[in-house]
Amino acid sequence: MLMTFERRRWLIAGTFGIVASSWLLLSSGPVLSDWRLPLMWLPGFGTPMSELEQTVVTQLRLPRLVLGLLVGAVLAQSGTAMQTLCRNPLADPGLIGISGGAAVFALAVIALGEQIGIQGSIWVSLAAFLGALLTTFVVYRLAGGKTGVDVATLLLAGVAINALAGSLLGLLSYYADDDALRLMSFWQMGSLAGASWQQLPLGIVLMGVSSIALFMLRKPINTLLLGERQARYLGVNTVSLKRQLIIWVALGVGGAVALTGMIGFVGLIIPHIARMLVGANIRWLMPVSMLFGAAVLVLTDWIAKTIVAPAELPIGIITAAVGAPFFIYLLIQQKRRLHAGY
Amino acid sequence: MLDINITHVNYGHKRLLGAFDLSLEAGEFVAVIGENGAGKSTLLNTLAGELDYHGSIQLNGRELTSWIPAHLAPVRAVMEQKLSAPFGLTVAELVGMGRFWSHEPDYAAHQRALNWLERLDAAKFAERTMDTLSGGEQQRAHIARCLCQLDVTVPGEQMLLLDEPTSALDVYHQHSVLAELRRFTQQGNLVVAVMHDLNLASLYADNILLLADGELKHFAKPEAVFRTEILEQTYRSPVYISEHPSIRKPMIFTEPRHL
Repeated sequence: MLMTFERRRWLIAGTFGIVASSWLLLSSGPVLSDWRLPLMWLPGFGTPMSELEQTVVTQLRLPRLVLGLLVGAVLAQSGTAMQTLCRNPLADPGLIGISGGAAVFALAVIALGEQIGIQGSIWVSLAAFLGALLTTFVVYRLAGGKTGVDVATLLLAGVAINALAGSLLGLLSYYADDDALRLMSFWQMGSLAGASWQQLPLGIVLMGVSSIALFMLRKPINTLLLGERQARYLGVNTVSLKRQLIIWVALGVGGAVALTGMIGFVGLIIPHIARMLVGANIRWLMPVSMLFGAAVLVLTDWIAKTIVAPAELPIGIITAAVGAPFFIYLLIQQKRRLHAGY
Repeated sequence: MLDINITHVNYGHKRLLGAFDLSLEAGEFVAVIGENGAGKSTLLNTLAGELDYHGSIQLNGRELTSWIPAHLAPVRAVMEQKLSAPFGLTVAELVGMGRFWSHEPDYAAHQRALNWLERLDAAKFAERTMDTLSGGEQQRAHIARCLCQLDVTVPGEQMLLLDEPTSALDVYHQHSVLAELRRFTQQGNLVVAVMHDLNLASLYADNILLLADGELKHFAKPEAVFRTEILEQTYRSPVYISEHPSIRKPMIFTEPRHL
């Protein structure tokens, strides 16, 4: 089976990508760069790490790497799931407003939480999840009809929700103090700089649960490739499937937004590229997207923190700079109806 | 096996189908014919449970609306007129998707898929992706998917709804597909297929269901429905009816129209 062989090759390539980008992130940065750094963990291999190296690698770079891998994988996976549900390659969690909704709710807790007595990363994450859930539901309801999801409505609903989110964020910034304000502006462009071992367990739980749940649903999700109606004929309870899918996507994207802010376009580009490589079958598309998403996000994060060192660029600037032209390219392609997949 | 007793099917205020009162039996091959827009696909969609109806439609003694998808899947498969051909999905994977309800392991589903593709003379493109196939090949892949879905140890009392299953097939494959469908009915199952080729319907169907303007006009054996006056009225064209030289079924000839 040639096809299986070809697809497996991309799984291996994705794994290599993860190893390579992880190595890059662990071993180099604005302060300490030595390509042998990750090896120094291994006992009896070369010189052991100095105390400074120890701190930089285990306390700064490693949590950042774990967070990057998780967020990249989850964003790409959510994108894959939403695109299959909507049967359209333009359904990206960021574009259709899920990230925006999550951000508004989370930032409301950051800005106003002190006054109403809820503080801390758990509340922020919970708020992000609720925001993501609400917007996913609203957007899907607005765009959904008897014959499936209307893409134009979906994107327009996303535009509206993003605009609303923008204005609410602006409003919140009036009420926020300086600390919260700095956090907020950082958030709107996304960053992994805040990664620490303290906040990671929560992120691992939120995104891990979402990721595992979506992965377990890959067979029923796959039937949606033939359309919602045919999925029903094949024996899928599509009402329940859609509900679950929306909840898990919201949990994953909410978790990602709560920890790293809004990193756009990852859920759009990665599944699209993966689809060109391995096809639309979720069995291959989902794992390949996740591997590529993790690798690409870690690589982008490395660029973000090195390119203007010692300062740091918000990662969302880079993903948007690459993603927005790519999105336009997809739009043109759709217009020409060249897209064979959906 | 399928008892239809409905007064009408509406979409908003628009009447799509009129009254139907008929019972389709297990072992029957029913061809649904009629003009474009006569309501053939609407009838099929209604039987598939996609449209709200007034009255009752019972499959194996149970109202259609009370079935859940997971229980319906092993008893009923549907092939829509517009076929999906997802990018990068292989034919064997598509056919194997028919096994979703069975929860059998992937390799078992794959094996079964290959068997059905073999039977429909489609094994040679089993590993090709759907988007690279011709229309006729896609049609055979989807028919294989339906048959693979209904592949059970004890066949019988199963229903296959097909919207123009042979519209893109060449003569050889028209006959091989229809023969396979006949064999399926002979196992005690029901096939309801929308067809435009009257001669093929005559050769393979047990009963012809003729629709006009959403109303049931005739439901009878081909010999009873394929009569000059009925067909001339339905299709508004001159029609000659003869008899198939070997199997004595009505054959329909039409006139070319001159400018």
